[in-house]
Amino acid sequence: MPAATDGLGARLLIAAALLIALVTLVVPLALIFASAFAEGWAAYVANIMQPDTLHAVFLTVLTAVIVVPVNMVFGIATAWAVARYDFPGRKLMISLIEIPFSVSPIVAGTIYLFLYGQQGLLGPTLQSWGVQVMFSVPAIVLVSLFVTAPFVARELIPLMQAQGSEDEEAALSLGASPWQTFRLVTLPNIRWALLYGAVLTNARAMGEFGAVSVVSGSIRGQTNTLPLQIELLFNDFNVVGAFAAASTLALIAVATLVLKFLLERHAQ
Amino acid sequence: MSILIDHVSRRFETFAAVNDLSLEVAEGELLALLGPSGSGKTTLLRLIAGLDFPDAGRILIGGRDATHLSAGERRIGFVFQHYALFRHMTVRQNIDFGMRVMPAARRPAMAERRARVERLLATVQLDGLGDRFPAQLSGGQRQRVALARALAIEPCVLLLDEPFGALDAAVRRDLRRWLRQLHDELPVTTIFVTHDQEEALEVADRIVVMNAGRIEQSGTPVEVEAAPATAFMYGFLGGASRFDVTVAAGRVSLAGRPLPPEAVELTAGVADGPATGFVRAHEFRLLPAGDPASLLDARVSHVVTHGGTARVELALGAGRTIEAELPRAAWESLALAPGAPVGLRPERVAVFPPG
Repeated sequence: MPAATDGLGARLLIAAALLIALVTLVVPLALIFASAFAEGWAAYVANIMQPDTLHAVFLTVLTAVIVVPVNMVFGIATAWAVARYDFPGRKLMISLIEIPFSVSPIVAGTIYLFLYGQQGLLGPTLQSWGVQVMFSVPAIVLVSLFVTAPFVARELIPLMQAQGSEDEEAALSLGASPWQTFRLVTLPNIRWALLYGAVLTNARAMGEFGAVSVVSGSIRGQTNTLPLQIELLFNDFNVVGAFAAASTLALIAVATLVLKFLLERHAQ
Repeated sequence: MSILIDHVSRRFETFAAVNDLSLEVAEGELLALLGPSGSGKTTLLRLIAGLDFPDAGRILIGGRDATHLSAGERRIGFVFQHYALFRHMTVRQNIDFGMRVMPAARRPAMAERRARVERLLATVQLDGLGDRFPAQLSGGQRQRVALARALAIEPCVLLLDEPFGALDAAVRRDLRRWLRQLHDELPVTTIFVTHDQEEALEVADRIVVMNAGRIEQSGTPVEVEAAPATAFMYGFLGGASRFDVTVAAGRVSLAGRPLPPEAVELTAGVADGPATGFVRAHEFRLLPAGDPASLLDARVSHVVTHGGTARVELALGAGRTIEAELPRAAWESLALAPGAPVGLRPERVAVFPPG
């Protein structure tokens, strides 16, 4: 139960917290929408409907649509392995999962550039097969996969460790096949945490700038995602355009927060 | 169905949880696996269920070699210590689960499934609670749902891991009696694991006591209670006092005084020299201080009377306390108050090699 809020000191602290939140969080968010609509609704729609921006929206959504399911599968598989089995290198694996979080996204992008770029480790070989990974959509998907890999696994590992494997053993002893056990017992037990991880993965996949900017090449209308498009528009002094594009990302962020809040409540 | 465990071993790294153990369980038997924690009883149960597999030996169920069968193929009902109910399913859905996952060819028709669930709900006395979720049930009710769920697959063997371990004393007593009755009505071969000897003595047809991955003693509750076979058994059953005794040419003496031969039970392999003797609490006779028949001098330090028995704590000197148990009437006729001196005469001393 929260303590009573009578003392003057407590009130001052609360007021300070609210003020800081207002200045650093609410005002910038409001400003995005204010600037996006500065020249009216028509200009906003026109900017959004601009082909390059529309393509950026499409590419961002495409990336998320690929990355979220892939990383859900990866997250479940990893959490399963770590929470259910004891194998040599298990502790190392738990740390390895965290690498995308501890490494700057720019570094992640650069790693992929070194791997798949023209002068990279695998680039020339792939090139000789006619496959170009860098500065194309696959590169964007690959780095997005990398930077969002930990979200689902991190949500699931502690939960699956806490739940233990008794439910699954019970299902197996009742005659369920491994797949039935997973579908009817494991998945329902982890569903809220899984969705929560997916929501976080989605938010990061859509908002990722650093890693994507290194590998995408920022070709307008081809390899530009929304965050990159916003920067481009801003550098073109198209403030309304930049903020209009930014408002879509901000909306996604707000929707993510609402979803996250609902999922957290449901998980309890 | 009968179960035959044939020289089974299971090691975890360097620790042998089950060590070259053989055991036969007859069709329809209700067997208790009793032992201290870490004695391997739960591991043995999991090996029988197919939730774990032995490193050596064979397990036969109903005469068929089941050593390498998966848990699902063995048709064994397993009740977990913490119930392991599916929390997102109602009680009915939990009980129905085993039938739901059967291959279509073997799965009973929907009407039969429903009828069986209702029948089981009645058997475990949970009619009317079928639409609840596990979180809305008490511990005893959850335990019964777990049992109904295991019975729904019409198992040939029922295994229960510490079935009453997480329940409070009154519920435990009720459920114990109820399990006994259920087994009388529905004679499925049943093995349950417990560390509570009272539970094992009360419920089981036969008790198998395990220690360090091996069977220490096996027998009916009466046999085990009346004649503990090893030093471990005396320690485990509790209430026995341990004495250092001396053996010389088949005669045993305690604290320098020879014990009457009729009170001594020498186990095979006890050599001359120092040995260990055990006297159970109810096998002491209390005598007035200075009585010539007395072999030990003690002082009364504390008495608890409970029903028809009196449990007396006796100080032997040098900070050593032992426990004696006698009928309340006998205790009252002695008219002793705490602090009073008293004489002790062991009526039966079991003597084992030292250690």
